[in-house]
Amino acid sequence: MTLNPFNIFEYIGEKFTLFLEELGGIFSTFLQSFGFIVVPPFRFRLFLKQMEFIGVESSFIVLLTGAFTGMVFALQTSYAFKLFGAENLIGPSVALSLTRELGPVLTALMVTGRVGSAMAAELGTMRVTEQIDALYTMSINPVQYLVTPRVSSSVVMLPMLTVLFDFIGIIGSYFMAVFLLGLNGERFINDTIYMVDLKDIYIGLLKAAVFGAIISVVGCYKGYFAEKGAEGVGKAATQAVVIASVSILIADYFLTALLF
Amino acid sequence: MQIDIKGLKKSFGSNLVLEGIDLTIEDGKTTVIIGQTGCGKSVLIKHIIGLLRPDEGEIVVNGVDITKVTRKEFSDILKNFGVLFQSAALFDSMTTGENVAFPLREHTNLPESRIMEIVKEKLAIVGLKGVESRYPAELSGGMKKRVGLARAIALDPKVLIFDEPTTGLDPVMSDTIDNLIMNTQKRLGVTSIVISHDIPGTYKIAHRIAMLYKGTVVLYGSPDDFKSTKDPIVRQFLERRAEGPLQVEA
Ligand SMILES: Nc1ncnc2c1ncn2[C@@H]1O[C@H](COP(=O)(O)OP(=O)(O)O)[C@@H](O)[C@H]1O
Ligand SMILES: [Mg+2]
Repeated sequence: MTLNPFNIFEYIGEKFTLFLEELGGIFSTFLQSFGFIVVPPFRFRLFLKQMEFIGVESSFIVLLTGAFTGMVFALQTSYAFKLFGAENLIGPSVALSLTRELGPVLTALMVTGRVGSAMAAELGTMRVTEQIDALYTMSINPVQYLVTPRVSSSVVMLPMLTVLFDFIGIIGSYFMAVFLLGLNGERFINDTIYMVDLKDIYIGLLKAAVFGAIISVVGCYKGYFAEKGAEGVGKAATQAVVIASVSILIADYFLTALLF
Repeated sequence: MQIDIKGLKKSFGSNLVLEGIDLTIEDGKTTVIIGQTGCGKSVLIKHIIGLLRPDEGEIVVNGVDITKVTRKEFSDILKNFGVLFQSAALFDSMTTGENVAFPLREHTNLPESRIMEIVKEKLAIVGLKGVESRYPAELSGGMKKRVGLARAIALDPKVLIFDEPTTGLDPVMSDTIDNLIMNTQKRLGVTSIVISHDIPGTYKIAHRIAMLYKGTVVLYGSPDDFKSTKDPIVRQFLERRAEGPLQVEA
């Protein structure tokens, strides 16, 4: 490689083209997998199996992270609010941050680590061991068989996990506020209910659904087009997590700016 | 189903693999494709089942050029094909029994009890018994191949494509598989394409043999044509000699 400084334009240009190609591929995977939701045969059993994997089996880590996020948030906000003597705002501010922002985003990031990488690894292994080719030669559309159930159940399960996260997080902050900081429990609940709109919750859940689509489409896309043996599968899994996590944060910004 | 391959060319980047293959797979006969490892045998059959698109040339199945049909049309053509991949390509999230039952569950309305019967029957044909509930990871390489075979014949397809069905099997098992291919061919009149490195087995099952070398068909003919050929390349391959015009690529 020559050390021509202008190569940097070439480099960025090349990366940008690759990026666009990747984006195109991810988007087309998304469209295809969604299109197949309305095309028979409906694979309800596969859908349920994925719901279990994505939702039920993620619930424990979501519970754990939700509880601690709520607790630490109550601690941190109490520090700030005490300065103004506004401790009664701890409940509402924790609840608002959780429902609008932290619930969907943290849930999605946790699920990305667990589910996005697993999808990429599973489909990647099926690709390099010719199982996807085998499906195709049996006249089964591999996207419909493999990707659609994963994407659709992910879109359904992420909001549910987010509800769990929000709920447990608020309970965590309640315990912190009432038992550790000595606030009035009834007041905490009343203030929280008063300040949090249904809209905050809905939009948070809408975000979660979008994140669910991102996690599963990216994971499936990376696995589906994995290359060259075990190394390719590993790379697919890592890239799935990185791309999905970054995309979630970017999407979060735009959704927040547009919807609230 | 007759399959005509005309002027098929395929390269991967700078690696020119098929340089113009002309080959007719005759209806109701067994055609064995031989040639050195890496010469493009698997690539050739992947074109026939539409997993790869040719750079040039056509593949005509029953009068239809499959390189030009839509995905949907091709999907219907594929329903007549049973394919055994070189790696067996069993679904590792399913048991052996579920693997063999899979095409039946997908493409027939048979009751579950009948499907289980067919699964048992097909597994028995390839010499396997009582392995229905085992996962592919718990099987030996040879067993996986045979399960793949059972899955390929589950729907009694009109065209059978076997990529190295006997590689990795012991001689007795190899002969059993050879007999299976011959019997299915005789019984159902299927068209079979078999890739093989087993020369005695090839002579036994083949009606036609095609040898690939450097991206083209160097010799096509009956087993007798192969036995009597004077072509030095073919002779060296059949007599399994390291010395000669055929070179092992580095
Ligand atoms: N999907 C692919 N991408 C790139 N190169 C490939 C691909 N499939 C096969 N090849 C190359 O094509 C050549 C022929 O491979 P193959 O048909 O598998 O050989 P064989 O005759 O042993 O079955 C090899 O050089 C292989 O590296
Ligand atoms: Mg091969």
